[in-house]
Amino acid sequence: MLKESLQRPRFALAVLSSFALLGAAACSNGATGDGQAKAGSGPVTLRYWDMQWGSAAFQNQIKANVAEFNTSHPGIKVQFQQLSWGDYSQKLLSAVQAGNPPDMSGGDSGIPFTMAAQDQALDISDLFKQWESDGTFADMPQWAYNKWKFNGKDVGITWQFDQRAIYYRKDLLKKAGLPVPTTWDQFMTTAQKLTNPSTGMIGLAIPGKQGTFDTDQFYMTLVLQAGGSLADKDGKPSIDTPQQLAALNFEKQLVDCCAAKGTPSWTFTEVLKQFEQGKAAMAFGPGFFANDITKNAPKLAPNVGVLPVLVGPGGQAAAHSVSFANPWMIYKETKHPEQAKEFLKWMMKKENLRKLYASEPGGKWPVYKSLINDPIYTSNQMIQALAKQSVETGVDYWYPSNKGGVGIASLGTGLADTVINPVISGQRSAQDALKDGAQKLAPLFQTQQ
Amino acid sequence: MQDTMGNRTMSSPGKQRRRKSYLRRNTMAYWLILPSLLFLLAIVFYPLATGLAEGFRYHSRVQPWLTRFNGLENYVTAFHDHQVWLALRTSIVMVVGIVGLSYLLGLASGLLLNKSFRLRGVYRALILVPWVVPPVVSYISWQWMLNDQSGLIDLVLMKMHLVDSPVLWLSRPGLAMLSIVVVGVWSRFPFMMITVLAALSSIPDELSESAALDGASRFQTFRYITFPLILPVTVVATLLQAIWTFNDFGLPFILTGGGPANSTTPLILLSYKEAFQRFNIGYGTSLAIISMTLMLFLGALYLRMQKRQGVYE
Repeated sequence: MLKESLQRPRFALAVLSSFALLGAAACSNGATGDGQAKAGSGPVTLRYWDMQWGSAAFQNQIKANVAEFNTSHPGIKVQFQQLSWGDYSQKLLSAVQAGNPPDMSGGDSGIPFTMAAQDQALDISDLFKQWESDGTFADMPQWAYNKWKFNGKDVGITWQFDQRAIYYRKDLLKKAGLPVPTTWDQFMTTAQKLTNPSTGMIGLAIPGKQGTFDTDQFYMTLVLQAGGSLADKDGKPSIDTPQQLAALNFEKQLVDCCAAKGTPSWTFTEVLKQFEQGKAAMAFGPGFFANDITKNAPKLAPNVGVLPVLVGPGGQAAAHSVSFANPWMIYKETKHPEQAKEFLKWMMKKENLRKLYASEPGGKWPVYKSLINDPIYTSNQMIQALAKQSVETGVDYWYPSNKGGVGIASLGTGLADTVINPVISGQRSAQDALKDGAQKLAPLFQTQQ
Repeated sequence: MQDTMGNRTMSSPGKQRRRKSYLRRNTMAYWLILPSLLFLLAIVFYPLATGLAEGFRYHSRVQPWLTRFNGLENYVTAFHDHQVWLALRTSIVMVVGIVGLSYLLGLASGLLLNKSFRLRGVYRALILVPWVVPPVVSYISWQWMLNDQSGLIDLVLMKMHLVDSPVLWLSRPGLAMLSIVVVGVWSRFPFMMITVLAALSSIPDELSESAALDGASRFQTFRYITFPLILPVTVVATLLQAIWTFNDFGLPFILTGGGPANSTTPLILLSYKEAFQRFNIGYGTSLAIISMTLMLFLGALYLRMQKRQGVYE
């Protein structure tokens, strides 16, 4: 009986119809899956995606901020979705390609450029005008908002800095009678004098492993201080340049004289471990090192300071530290641009950002200059120094090369893989590696005609 | 009716009738396999076809306006790319080193554990541990053990006064490759051992007893009886291991990140970096297609060898 019924054309039709219905359901789910309510059917729903920035305390706070916004704005409902660091860019790019991006998202310091180049970023110039007139921008480093100008549009806004710095052992410098270095030459001398193979002490701990973004960051600090950049003002790559050569040679000399022999396999994990174990006199690392040292090496912490930003061949004007400007942006595809702007404006308010910064003291660095005197940052001398550097000397790889933003965002670990690691591991000369890098990475800088 | 070879063939109407009747009888079966077929089309064949097409395009996820069909350009670029050749060499070294050594170790362990002795079951279970541990967990553990500053291996070597300073396992090209091979062998030889053990247990004891009566030495028994009999299984096992090793992304990615100086970047890792770190989907896919083609070639070669060795089955 069953067999007979299965053989009937009607059954075939029913099966095919079921598949068609399933497909239609899936498609319709995709179409309305963004939760956008129709006019008059309840609050407008916004999708906000952001990465896993820091600790659980921070994640809880960002959710609390969103909940607070939802309570105070009954006409708007923000749905927060956390993205993992491993695949956030793929998810965002895929969502854009599928025509279903979020209304607003966070991202790395290059995401708004990548989206703007695909005409996916909403121009928030009107918000910029408001922030300019209400004094918000007066309390920010200029580059924190100028950085997001792309093809005449304002495509994002910085909500925090992700600071990098060189930590040093004050007690060791004092014992050796050395002044705190402020220039490249002094830095080299200090690193050399504090290196002592007989005690296992290295002058400097830095990351050098291939395939990790950690490795780029010390090198780019040196490139900035040498007066170099990754792209020129027209957006053309500037990899094989005298400034990059100076930075690469300097890093190679530092590794040869004063770093651990295993540096080409080190990430920040090894650097931090070495420093906390008291086996490194200086260490390059992210801002969170300050917290980690305070927590995990409490005896060492009072003896740890943050080096002033070094003056290199680029002179005082180029005395920068790497400080990634982390943005929020709104997508052009949003059906509710005004509500999304309302949400962004609310999130950017100093009191709301302060709650985020306070949830992880020493983990997030303020975009507002006035906050560096807040107890969040003044309670710990390392954190205070880092906060000051972030707003005074910090800059990232993109600024002011906004036009090359897409190329810089696409480098991935290309610098570490093609340029830095081969040189510090002694497998390639600095000149050859830069040529390799320029050849390999230049195509990424092609812009839209 | 006969064809040119003298075989009987059906008349055309008869053939059609048979076919219709066959289809009528098996309609239910076709309906039942239809969902699986549709799923296969959706999740295997469609992505595969799309992937193949990607390999012939310039497609960068961050420069979509440049997307275009570029014929064989990706493959020509790959042919002239020094890193691709280096990656291919690395893949081959990994396959030969890891598969060869893990087979030898698996064979030795299999022969040993095929003998009867006390606690044999315990030893068999213990040897399986590296294979049972999730690869990512074991690779991260090895990464820590091989660390030149705080790694257990250097610590032990120094405590035993075998070395004066830490051995830079992951920072020197030669040592990094050696480390990858050692970790690869460690994690794979249990599979070889199980396979060999299964093949050995199927050999009747009478064969080796007869050989012994005929005066064959242990080596001769192994050379002329045991090894030929486990050879078909060996071929299949090494083929599988070669394919898995060639496509092993996690081992070099976790242990060395492909460095130092790209010396441990196999083709599959290079493909990943191009596609997912530099967003160069087209070029990354073309490298994956090259990798797949090589695997197909290897597969065909091994199957041919297996067919030739079928005389032992």
